[in-house]
Amino acid sequence: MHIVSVLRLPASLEGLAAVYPWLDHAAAACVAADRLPGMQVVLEEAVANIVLHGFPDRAPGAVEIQLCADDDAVLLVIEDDGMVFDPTAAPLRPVAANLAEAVPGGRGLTLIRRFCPSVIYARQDGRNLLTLRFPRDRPDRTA
Amino acid sequence: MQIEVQESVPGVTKIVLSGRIDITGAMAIDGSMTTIARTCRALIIDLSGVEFMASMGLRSLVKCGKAIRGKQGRVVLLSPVHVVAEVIHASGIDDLIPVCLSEAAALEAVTPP
Repeated sequence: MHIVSVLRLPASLEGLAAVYPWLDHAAAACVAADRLPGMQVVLEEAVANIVLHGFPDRAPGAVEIQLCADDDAVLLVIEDDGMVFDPTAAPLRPVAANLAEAVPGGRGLTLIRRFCPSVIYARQDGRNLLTLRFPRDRPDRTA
Repeated sequence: MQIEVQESVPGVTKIVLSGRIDITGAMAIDGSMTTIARTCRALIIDLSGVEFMASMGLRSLVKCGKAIRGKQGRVVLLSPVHVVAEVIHASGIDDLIPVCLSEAAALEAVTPP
């Protein structure tokens, strides 16, 4: 596994705006074009959670995102020093039966789990560490 | 992020969205969407020019949809591109707001029988 690119940004809306163009550029060499939009959705949601909820009672800290790759998978590793938040343990919002019962927001975690098959969370040295693993297509192994 | 409002046929409003509906994009359209939802009862939200949508975009759509359904109106989504359609389907929004693939189908869906 090698590091393809690293992005450091403030945990703010301005910082979040840098995420999409960074991944678009950094992933060009190691992610299939049809897989990139799903990765973009997952990364947007994961970083948005940190920006919107990670620093409720103090000035926003920093977020570091690593894009890593090997022959089998592409990884996005997101590290932040915000409050403890484990997106793998948080409950998903139930699907509403109709518009009248639907709550407008709260579908970010659903999108993360739908578009990323492997989400691993750890709290390490006072920091959140979220590892999003996207397996590569290996048609040679499924033949 | 751009938002354009048209009268599709008399009595039917069409919102044409284009660009990226991430958090910033959703913030940019949310106020206009709320105002439009308040003033119409038949709404087509054209998503064909939207290249990316995340959960805050879904939030705007549901909020708008609820306001229109609340007054027995009708709302549909029109022609999302593949990646946006996947986000809509993955979140179950297509069970709440119908997705139409042509303007004719959208017009029929928002017109009371």
